[in-house]
Amino acid sequence: MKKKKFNLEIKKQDNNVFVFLNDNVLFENANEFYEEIKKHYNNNYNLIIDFTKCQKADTSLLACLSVIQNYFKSIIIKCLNDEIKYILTLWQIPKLVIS
Amino acid sequence: MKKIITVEKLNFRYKEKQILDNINFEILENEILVILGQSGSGKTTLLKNLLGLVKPETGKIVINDFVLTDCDDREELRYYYKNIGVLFQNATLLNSLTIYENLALPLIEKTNLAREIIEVIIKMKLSWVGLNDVNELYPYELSGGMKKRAALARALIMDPKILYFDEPHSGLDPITTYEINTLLLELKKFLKITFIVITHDISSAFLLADKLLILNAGKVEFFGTKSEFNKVHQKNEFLKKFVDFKRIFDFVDYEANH
Repeated sequence: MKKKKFNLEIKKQDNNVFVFLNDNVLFENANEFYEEIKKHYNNNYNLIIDFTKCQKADTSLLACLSVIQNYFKSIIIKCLNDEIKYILTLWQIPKLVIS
Repeated sequence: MKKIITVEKLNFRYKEKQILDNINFEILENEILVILGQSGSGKTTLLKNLLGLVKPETGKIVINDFVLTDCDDREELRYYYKNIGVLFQNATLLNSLTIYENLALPLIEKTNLAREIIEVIIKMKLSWVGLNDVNELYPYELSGGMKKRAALARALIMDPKILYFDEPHSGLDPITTYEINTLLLELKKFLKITFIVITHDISSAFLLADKLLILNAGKVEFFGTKSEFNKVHQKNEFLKKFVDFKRIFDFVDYEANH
């Protein structure tokens, strides 16, 4: 596992890129999140993001996912927080699945 | 629901004149507060106090646990401004910039987001207010209603928790007024934000408000829900006069008979 500046951890396994977030994705840091994910673009891979340690998010996350989805087979979000789940419903991201 | 704005014993004086006199009210999260009052009743001064643009003589304004009236720290104020959206009556969009540029401006100034992310945010916010294909247009190329929508999209750009809207209905025809009201109610439900709306339009006020604050010469003449208003307004001469729709019909009858 690699420790990143944004405080996320990224692991590749089979055809999946696993991202474990330790920081909330908000306007002030969303670009760092985006730049980190960009390094792993692969249309044959699924992007699996674990938001279980996050408490909030804003529409910058939605915008990032909206762009990122074009470079992955699918995006799967693991999330417990209702506020984040709600934010994710505010814009349609066809390749996004919330588990 | 959680209290989002508390105003306690607020007094504001300009030179010798008392503009706001012992203002008290509370608003909960995701409510719409409509502020009504005659011209010069203190509505705009109250808004300026809520925005931290002026300091009251005495009293307290607490916004989400942040005591605005005690704050002298620029960083804290900046944080507060990041969480609110403001739409002034006229100064809304910059005419020399396209709609896209108008909306991009706060994102470029306040974040380091990549251009492609900014593009999606703008597309998202414009779609929320029902505008498409206006990116390349200039504000002067839009109708009054479209301009209000675009300005609203810009106010929503950084996900405010509270949105202050000064005279959203000014200069709009009744149909566009209705459309803007419908949009505000949809956004309130959809985005779960709190709106503070100043208006002179009585029917819009009653359509939008969860709570009404009616000012009369700097004092709170009424604060409460619409049903509370219905219970008391007949007993209060000022309130009765303020919302007396019957007067309009009396005038129509007068015209017909003379």
